[in-house]
Amino acid sequence: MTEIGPQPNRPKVRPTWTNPENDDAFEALVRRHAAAVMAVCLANTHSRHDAEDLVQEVFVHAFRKLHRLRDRDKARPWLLQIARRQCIDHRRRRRSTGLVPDDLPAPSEDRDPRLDRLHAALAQLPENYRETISLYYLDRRSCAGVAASLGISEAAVRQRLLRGRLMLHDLLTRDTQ
Amino acid sequence: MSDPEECQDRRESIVALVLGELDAIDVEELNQHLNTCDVCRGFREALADEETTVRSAFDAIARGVGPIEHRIVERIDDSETQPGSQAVPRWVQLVGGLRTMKRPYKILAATASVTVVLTGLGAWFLPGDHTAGIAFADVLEQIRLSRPYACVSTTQYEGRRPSTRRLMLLSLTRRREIWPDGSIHVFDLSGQDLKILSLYPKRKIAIEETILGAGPRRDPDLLAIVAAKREAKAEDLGTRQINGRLAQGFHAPGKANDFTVWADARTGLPIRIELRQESLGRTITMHAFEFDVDFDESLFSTTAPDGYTVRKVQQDAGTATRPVAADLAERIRGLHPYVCTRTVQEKGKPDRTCRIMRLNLSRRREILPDGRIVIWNLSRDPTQCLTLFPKEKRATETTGSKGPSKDPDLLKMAFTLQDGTEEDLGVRQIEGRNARGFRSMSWSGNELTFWIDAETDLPVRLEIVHTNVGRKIILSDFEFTADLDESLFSTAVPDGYTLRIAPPW
Repeated sequence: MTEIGPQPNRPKVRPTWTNPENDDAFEALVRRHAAAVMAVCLANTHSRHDAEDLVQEVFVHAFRKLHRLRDRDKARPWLLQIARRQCIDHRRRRRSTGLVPDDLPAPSEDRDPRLDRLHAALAQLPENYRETISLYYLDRRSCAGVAASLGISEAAVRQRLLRGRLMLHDLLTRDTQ
Repeated sequence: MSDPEECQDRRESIVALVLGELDAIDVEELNQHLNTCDVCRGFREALADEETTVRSAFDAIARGVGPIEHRIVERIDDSETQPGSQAVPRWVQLVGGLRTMKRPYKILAATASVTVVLTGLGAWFLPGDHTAGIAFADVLEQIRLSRPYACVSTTQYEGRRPSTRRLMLLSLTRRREIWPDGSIHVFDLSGQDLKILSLYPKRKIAIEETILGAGPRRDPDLLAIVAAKREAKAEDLGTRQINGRLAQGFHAPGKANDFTVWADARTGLPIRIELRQESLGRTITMHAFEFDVDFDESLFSTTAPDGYTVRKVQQDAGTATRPVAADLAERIRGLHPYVCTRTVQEKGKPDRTCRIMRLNLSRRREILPDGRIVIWNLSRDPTQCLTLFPKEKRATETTGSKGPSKDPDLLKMAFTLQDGTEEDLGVRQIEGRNARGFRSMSWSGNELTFWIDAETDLPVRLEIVHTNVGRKIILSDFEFTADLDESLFSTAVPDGYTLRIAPPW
């Protein structure tokens, strides 16, 4: 790679929380951020089960790349970015292997029709609204929390939330009519 | 009775009320309306019922996250991988084992053999089209997500040397640039005032610049422009190897912005982006990308680090200009004729000053302090010089070297500046005007300093230091509106003058 000029100094010592000997650190990371990662995967896939599989993939990928994360405070945006990329890869794999919804296994008996209806309606929202709403409901229903996760202002989150929720209502109402 | 349009406008407020996100003052006002409006009350009740269902549905999903957490931890416990390292395939471990070989040529030979074998095997046994799954939409999606990132950006204007810099983008409002001369420039466009920090590490000089009222705004980020091409019908250019990676190319044509994007055939992440802007006669290339970089935020601070001599510059956005050398050269190109004062300073000698009228780079008229007038015409062969002594009414004519030729004009030297290599000296009062300074080394090693009027961008003062002979030439007191009569540059002897022919100089 061509390097022009001086490069930023990188710390030579790995932060203790990414140290392999600190067994609990990554588990704590999973517990703290799994719901938010699930929200992004849910917003970017067409199936809840795919989203659950992708959450696992995201954390396994993150575990391998943990050395790239130096600042623990940035763990959430970093994980959510990985989640978005995993979702893109997932969609591409699905397209390239020729899988279409008709080819998917038949729904299991324990599927909750409410969830399917909600997911179908969510899928029709603009992406910004999808992520905002999923994060809001899956992660403590706090605009401030969503703002921190997405790196945008609380006011922007609130606007997306209200507009998205209104659109969701219209979609759910239309489906039942 | 309620106005239906007014009720429609209240729908978002009712959503906020049901979600508990409405301010107390607004709650009171909305409740007053709800007490009188059946339509809105009905909407609130329907929404509240639905909200219960939505929350329970999401709660069910959230409950499913717990078992996923366990599965993740189990998978990681079972995995052979360690944090911070990729799972290493067996064949990579074998290749890695080559490092234990003692003689470098053996390593090279063995590595080459493995590469050839793997390449051959890949060609024979792997599916023919590795990139069948990569669509331009995937690449655009990856680009859209790609922040923060770093890359090397090269701008090439037709007929000029390319200028290259390393870009580090924290966001669309904050970036750091590292220029080939080692200088570092940090831009923060996020606030009301634009802040620029320029660092010159070799000389430990820092310029903290504030342009009042210039923000907030966003950078014209090339990745964002590419990402906006969502609907473009891109031509698939197939695959090729770029820096050892299999890349798939797409050409997205456009009148203003013509893009060629080479993306990693596996991940869809861009490897190389070329933007051709025909109307501007330039090509911008971005490569050596690093995505999702966990930048240390201090890299984007616009406060000078310790140990630097800091100069602070503050100006108003209405008058601030930041011309780069290429822009400057373009402006100067059309500035002939002009009048200025030239001062030559040399060690151990008195300063020599004269007023110069320049018609073009071949013809000039000099007025010396003692009243002499020297007229140069370099457009002829041989070149000519006529010196007039008005008091004595006499003239001396002499010839010089083979012509035609042109003067080593300081203004002309601006063309030799390489865009992006100049040092920004900030804004100062020069000759009673607010002027912005640039300093650069010319290709011949001379140090060139320009001071440009902050309002008009016209040169105020130019200095060139011939470092090898210890001479400094200063051009100042410019007049660019001079309507110079061509007869002033005539080398014909005026009536009433006595002519003497001097030997060639």
